[in-house]
Amino acid sequence: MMSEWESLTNFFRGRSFWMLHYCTGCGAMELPPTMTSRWDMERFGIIPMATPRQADILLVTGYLSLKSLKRLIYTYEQMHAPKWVLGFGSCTINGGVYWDSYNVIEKLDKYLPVDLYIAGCMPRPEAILDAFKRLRELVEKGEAKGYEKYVKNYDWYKANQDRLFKRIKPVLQKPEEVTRSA
Amino acid sequence: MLDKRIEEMKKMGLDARALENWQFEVSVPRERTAEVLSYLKSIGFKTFIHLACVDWIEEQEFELVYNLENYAEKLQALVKVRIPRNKPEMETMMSIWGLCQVYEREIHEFFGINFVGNPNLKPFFLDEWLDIPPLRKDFDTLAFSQELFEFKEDESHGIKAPKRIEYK
Repeated sequence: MMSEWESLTNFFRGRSFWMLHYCTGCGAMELPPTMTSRWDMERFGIIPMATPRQADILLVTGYLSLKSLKRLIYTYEQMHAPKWVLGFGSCTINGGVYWDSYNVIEKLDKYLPVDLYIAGCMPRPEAILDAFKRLRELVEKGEAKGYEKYVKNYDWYKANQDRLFKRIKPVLQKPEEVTRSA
Repeated sequence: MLDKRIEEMKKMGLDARALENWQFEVSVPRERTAEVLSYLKSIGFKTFIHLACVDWIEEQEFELVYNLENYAEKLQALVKVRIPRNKPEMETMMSIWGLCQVYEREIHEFFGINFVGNPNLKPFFLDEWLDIPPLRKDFDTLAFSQELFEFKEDESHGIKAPKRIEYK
């Protein structure tokens, strides 16, 4: 059970999300209408924030290559708890159209704790606002605890990340075998 | 203007043909590449747009395509050079266009072609790449992706890994 103080802080946290949007892919296109006058997410207390240290939400819009995933992890670890990750679009769920790509990860959940996914390619601004509303409900109930999960299972997340970033041998076969046969 | 340019190429003993009314291709043996490119540059094809590579795996050859543009005559030239696949080596064209350095570095990374004379062929886009170059036809991207990212059929979340459709 949450204490009264916790439920009070969660009430206010859920009403002033500061969002860092990590625009890797085409999902960045959907954010300007969401931020500006047509859908105007500021009426829900959500504003875009420039630096990771001041942000509460990390919105990952789209596919992540190995290089950008590395930067995303740096960014996530700079953010202060409590912090939440939103996976935006089908690319963060299962790779989307990049499902057989050699350089784009398939599931963001293996490398960072995602609190909420927004399905679709692309999700419309209504879907983004709906996701913020649901995140607010989760935060108020004290169920969005991705950042605690990340700390508790850090070795698992770290092992998954190192599997990508600290490779010491070829994934498929030895390079010289292939060049000789070719 | 296009016909005149193709005539000139044929006079040099090269195989040239028009693709569109603004574009022609010319096949060049590897030894004469620098000669043909510098000649084309001298007659107005001053802009080097792109260097592309095609992997003809059944013929065991790589094809390098130098894409040149002549803005004054509104013409485009594709200079095609074939090199053997088992010994992929090519001379650098940096003396003609310094810009080639970056394109050659990219081709080196994605196809494994060694450009003799290029001072910087270090990894460019890919981090910690240890496999064969990824855009070669014998590189299986699906197997690589399933092996590295571990996105397989038997995983939880109720998501099935999609199957590749083979087109013929």
